[in-house]
Amino acid sequence: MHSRYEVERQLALALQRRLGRRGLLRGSAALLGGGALASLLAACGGGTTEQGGAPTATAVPTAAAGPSPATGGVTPTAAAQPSPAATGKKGGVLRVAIIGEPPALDPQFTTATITANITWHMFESLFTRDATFSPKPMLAESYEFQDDNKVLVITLRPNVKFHDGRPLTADDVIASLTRYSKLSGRGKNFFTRVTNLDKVDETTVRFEFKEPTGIAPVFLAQVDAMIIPKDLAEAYPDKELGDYIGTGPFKFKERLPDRHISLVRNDDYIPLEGPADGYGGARVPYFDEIRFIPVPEQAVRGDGLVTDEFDFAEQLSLDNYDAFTAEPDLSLQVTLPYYFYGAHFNKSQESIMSNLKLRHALLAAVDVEPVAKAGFSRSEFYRLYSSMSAPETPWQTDGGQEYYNQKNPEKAKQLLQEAGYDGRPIRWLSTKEYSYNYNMALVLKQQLEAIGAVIDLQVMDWATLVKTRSQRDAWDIFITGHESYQHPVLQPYMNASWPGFWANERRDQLVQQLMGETDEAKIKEYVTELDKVWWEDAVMIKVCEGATLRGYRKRLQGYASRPDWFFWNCWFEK
Amino acid sequence: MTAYILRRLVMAAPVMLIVAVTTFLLLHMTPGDPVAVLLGPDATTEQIEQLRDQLGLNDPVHVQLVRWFAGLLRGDLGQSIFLNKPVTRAILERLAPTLELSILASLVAILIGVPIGMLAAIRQGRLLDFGSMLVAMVGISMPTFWLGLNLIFIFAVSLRWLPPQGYQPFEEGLWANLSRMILPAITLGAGQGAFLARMTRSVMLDVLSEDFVRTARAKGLSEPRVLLGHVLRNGLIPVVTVVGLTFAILMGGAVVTEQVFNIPGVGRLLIQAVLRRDFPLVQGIVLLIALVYVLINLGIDILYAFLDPRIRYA
Repeated sequence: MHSRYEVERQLALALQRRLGRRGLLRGSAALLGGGALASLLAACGGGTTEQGGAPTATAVPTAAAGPSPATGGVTPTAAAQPSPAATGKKGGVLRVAIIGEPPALDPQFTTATITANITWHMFESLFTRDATFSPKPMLAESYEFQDDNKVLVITLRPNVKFHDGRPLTADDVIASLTRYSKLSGRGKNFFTRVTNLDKVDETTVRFEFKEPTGIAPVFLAQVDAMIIPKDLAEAYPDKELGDYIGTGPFKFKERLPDRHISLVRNDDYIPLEGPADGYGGARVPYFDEIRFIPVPEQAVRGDGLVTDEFDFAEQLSLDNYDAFTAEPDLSLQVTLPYYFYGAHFNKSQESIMSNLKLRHALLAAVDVEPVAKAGFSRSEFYRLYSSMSAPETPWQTDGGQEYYNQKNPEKAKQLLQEAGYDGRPIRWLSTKEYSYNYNMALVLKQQLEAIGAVIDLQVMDWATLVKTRSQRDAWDIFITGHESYQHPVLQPYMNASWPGFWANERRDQLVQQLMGETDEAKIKEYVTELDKVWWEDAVMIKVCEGATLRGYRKRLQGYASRPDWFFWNCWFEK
Repeated sequence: MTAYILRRLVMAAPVMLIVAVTTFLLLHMTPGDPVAVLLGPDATTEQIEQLRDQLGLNDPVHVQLVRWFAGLLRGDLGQSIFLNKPVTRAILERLAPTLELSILASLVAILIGVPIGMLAAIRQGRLLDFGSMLVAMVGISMPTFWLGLNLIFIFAVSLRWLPPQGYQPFEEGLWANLSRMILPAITLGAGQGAFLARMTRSVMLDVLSEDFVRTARAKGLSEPRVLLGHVLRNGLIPVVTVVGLTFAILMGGAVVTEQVFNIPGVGRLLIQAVLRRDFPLVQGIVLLIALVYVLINLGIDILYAFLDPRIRYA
């Protein structure tokens, strides 16, 4: 496959002389994209991704946030978000090329990012996330912690209506969150702390917790904590929703699998007052219709965007960045913050990597720069820092940074010896479905073999990788990515049953403390400690935060560049 | 004739049985878990196990096989895990684009292959023969996806004559439909057209050297009448076989083309089903393709009788 890539590159170069630069670059986009095609099987997976294939996202950082090669109509972030109500124009059909058919239109049922990104146009939660990714009331009007964070009282906004015209009540909230507690992994986790969820009156609910739970708004700000009508929540208690009624700015129209998912404007939507703020604040629907079109081939998404088949396309090829910038009608976004990527060790007893010294040996050997370059091609597309959280969030710390990017083969060799490593092959799961995954693995393998580790790189498709990594005795290392703008407690590897199987008492303590706390200074102290424990226990070889590329036609106005895309507050320039 | 057709249909049953069992076992030997894909990357092990239990995926393979077969005998292909709807319905919804693509691609293949093959045969040994066979060789060797990407690059991205992707049903207008089908049909049909050209050429050469052709010429028939009335009619039989099989091959070949051109047909459904390990759906589609092969072969045999009165089925 690699060689096919090369052939196509050569071909593209040959054509270049004939067709002129711009046409060529477009062409090479198509041809190189075809490399991905060679592994036809790429990108599909239905758009479930963790890292991997990832979701999508853009979000040009704020000015201070580091390099952004984004061009054209880049909307500055948060603080500068316009007050949408005054500016936009209604009408038009927005065509959005997405990475694949979502597994379901129910974010409580599946954790696929593509599902969350589509459905939050229809469904809303009590809270959402602001420009710093901290919780901010959405369906909630106000909230109050009582009894040392053991009680939380939430008052609902009074004028909210579901798409079928019924008003939002406390009963709907309780029924929805009950479904959330049974169906969603996070919901289950959160509700282990809830002893009681009661209705105070028609627009007020009251949580009682076993222990202090200051983190509650963080959980309730996620898309899977969405609020739907009571009867709907009760009709689908343990299976995927068959009907889509929410409170959001767009309403469900139709779903034709592999053709499109269509949402239409909710004309009865009453936006919050004031400006937009991150994902929160005012949400104003302008488009008559949004059509999400599944386009699993990356090259086709790019071609479709260039030829005006789509108004917006996600996860474009980073290699084609220059070609896209040459298009006068396109705006690009290099999304940062986005996901951070690294190699997870299998820390269960069944794996050779349960040996902490061995993990530290590998950690010491790594020089992250060339690995990041292999994964994300050029320095504008990645950022190097040690924390599991991005600088735009309140949770970035320098805890444990001395373990990051050590580039110390001598120390590594010594640790390897101390670990008693006998040259047993280390089984590394990799996939070419996500090019960064394989490319980064190759460079890491090289660096680790240089200190004497033996790496057995096993390449497979994503579905096989996902299955294999859940078996404790079947692997030692795999690469994946995680949202760098997510609250650390919500990272999947905080759960000891998630592949990697990280169990650590100090970690559990810190997570408990973070779950209880609302005081910002204390939270900072705990996340610093958490980052430190994460490194000291050598949970993974964190490499870099990597960007994804999105493009849109310049007539699309009001687009706020955030890690997760949304199209309220957006309209077409006439 | 009716007895013959019935017998052939009965004989198809074991073929379908073998295809069904093989597909089922192969799929269940493949690693990968549909539920892990369905529930997303952050799903916990407990959630995955719970849904696997619900769907019966934790039962022993022979139990699952018997269950699936019992459904099959009732005409029930099962439920798609990923799409959460009956397999039959999922396939029927995608059939139109694939059928249209296969028919158009067959047309392209015939329109390219038969005339070129004939011309090459008539001009045997000359430049036209050499040139067209060279082109045919290139056509056969070219991977479908590569041709597709290049056509997209030239006609969609550079020249902007045709859209690069997607599918519009006929209700959206004839041109809306056809404009999105032209490039895929050429992509898919070109390779088969090249194959057909070589096939037609060699058959025609055989027929051209038959005695009756010499006789026809000797009695003074015009060259077009010799070619169309005698040579083509007699050369048609093997060509019909190939054309028939071409259609079946194209139904399968549509898998790649549909992916490249983002056409929501059965082929793309199959790729996605494989990637998501949607076992019932993959089994259903493979059975369908096998059935198409069987039926087309039967159709070809019946057609022989009409084309060549010497052939009679007992």
